[in-house]
Amino acid sequence: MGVGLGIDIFDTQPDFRTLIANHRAGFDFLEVYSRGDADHTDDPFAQIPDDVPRTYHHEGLDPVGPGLCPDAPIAGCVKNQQLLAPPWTVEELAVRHIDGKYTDFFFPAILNTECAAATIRNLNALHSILPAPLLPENAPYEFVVGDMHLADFLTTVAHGADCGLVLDLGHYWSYQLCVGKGEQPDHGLERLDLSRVLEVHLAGARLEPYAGGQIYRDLHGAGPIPEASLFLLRELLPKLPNLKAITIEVENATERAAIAQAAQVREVVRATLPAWLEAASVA
Amino acid sequence: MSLEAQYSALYALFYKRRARDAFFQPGHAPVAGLTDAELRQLQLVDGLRFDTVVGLHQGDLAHQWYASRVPASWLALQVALDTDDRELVASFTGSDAFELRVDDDADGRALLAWVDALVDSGNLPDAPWLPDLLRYELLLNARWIGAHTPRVEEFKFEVPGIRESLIERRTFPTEEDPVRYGALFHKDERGVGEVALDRDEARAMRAVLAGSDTSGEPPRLLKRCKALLREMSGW
Repeated sequence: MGVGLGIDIFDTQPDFRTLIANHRAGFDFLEVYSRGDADHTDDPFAQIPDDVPRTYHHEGLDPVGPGLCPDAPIAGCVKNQQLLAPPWTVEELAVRHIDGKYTDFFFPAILNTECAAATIRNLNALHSILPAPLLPENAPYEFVVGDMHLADFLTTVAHGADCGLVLDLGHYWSYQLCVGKGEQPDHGLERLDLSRVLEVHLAGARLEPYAGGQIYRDLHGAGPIPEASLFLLRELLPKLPNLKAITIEVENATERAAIAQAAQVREVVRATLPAWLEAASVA
Repeated sequence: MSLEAQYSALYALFYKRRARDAFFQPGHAPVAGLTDAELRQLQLVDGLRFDTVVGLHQGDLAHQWYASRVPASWLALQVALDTDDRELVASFTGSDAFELRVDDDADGRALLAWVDALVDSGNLPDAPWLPDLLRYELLLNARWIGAHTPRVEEFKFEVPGIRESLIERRTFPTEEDPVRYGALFHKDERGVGEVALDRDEARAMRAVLAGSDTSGEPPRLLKRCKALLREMSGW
């Protein structure tokens, strides 16, 4: 699929219609995020021309929760998959509800074997319901609970649920910042089954300093892509045999800034592994 | 069940200050149901980092859930309680009222319940108008509880003026006397429209909207109600 932009269909900035109309050469595909909404997606989805390749980013399936989420978010995901016909759907390895209560951010997976087992059960159940594959994505970490390394958790989940992965490079670094490895963004990656990674994400972020270190805060299009994320991209590109898509999440960016971030990432890919761009383009 | 308990514990630590303060004392479990091993995993969380993250999210929650939707009410709460965003969120999320929210408290019912409780317990002596102001701002900027539109709402205080005082002049109204305010509110994809109604107009409009018997209402009032409804549907 190549280098694409992750957009929110309800955002007025960037407006995906403007991106498509005026900047089509700047991205290969769109990753469409709906905030988990399925009630108001018919019209905006219909405004994405058929010739614009797309993936879909859902929210609300809470795959790392103790049990399968309620029917409504699953039905919403089914509906949106049917409307968009993406090759796969992305969902964060996080919960947005705890004990039925909505939380103000994605609580990332508790990193232990119990949570990994529940996640595998949930993903297998979801895979049996959803019409298109669901790829779990490592969520951002601001603090970590659990004694399992994130790379081990992701590998265990990918093998147990027999699925691909979306590796968010900034989120991976956010984990490193939590465990005192911020200076080594790629620490532990040898424990991750890289053959499972079908897509990588990059996004803008800012670092919040405090007396004990730094906290990664996701900004998406409202900030620069951290150098650590670009370092990880350079390091990983040659090691990801099944990588199909590189998505830059650009919510809140101007259209011009979104295209500039795509160009920045495309340049890193061109300098690191130009053959990938050619292969993705042919595919 | 145990993973559920782990998430419940995290939830308590994140949103309930008492649970958090107690947990970071030696040997304290935030919720029942955790095994020793699970408790040890939670105890590995860096308390300083966790506190910092909680503080950052208190700021996010203040801005994204409330200051942007009900700016005058949020500002008034800060002044009335002599506190800042984060402290306000910490008090609110620690309350039972916070658990009443639907989604991101999109209709404000949790905040309203908290404010009502503050008034009832005598904690807002200088701002008896705050529940009315909050109800008014929720009509303007939040998801409505109950879908019916248009609707008549009445307030004990003149809330548009109080709102303007807080937002435009950054002035906290003191010793505000109750002055009734009523209005017809209409919501559609363009936003919320509002027309002030006096007491008689409000009564007649309620009857018209409810399809009740209006034979006792003066014809001029009924004429005005119908004209307003026509005007609102095309505003």
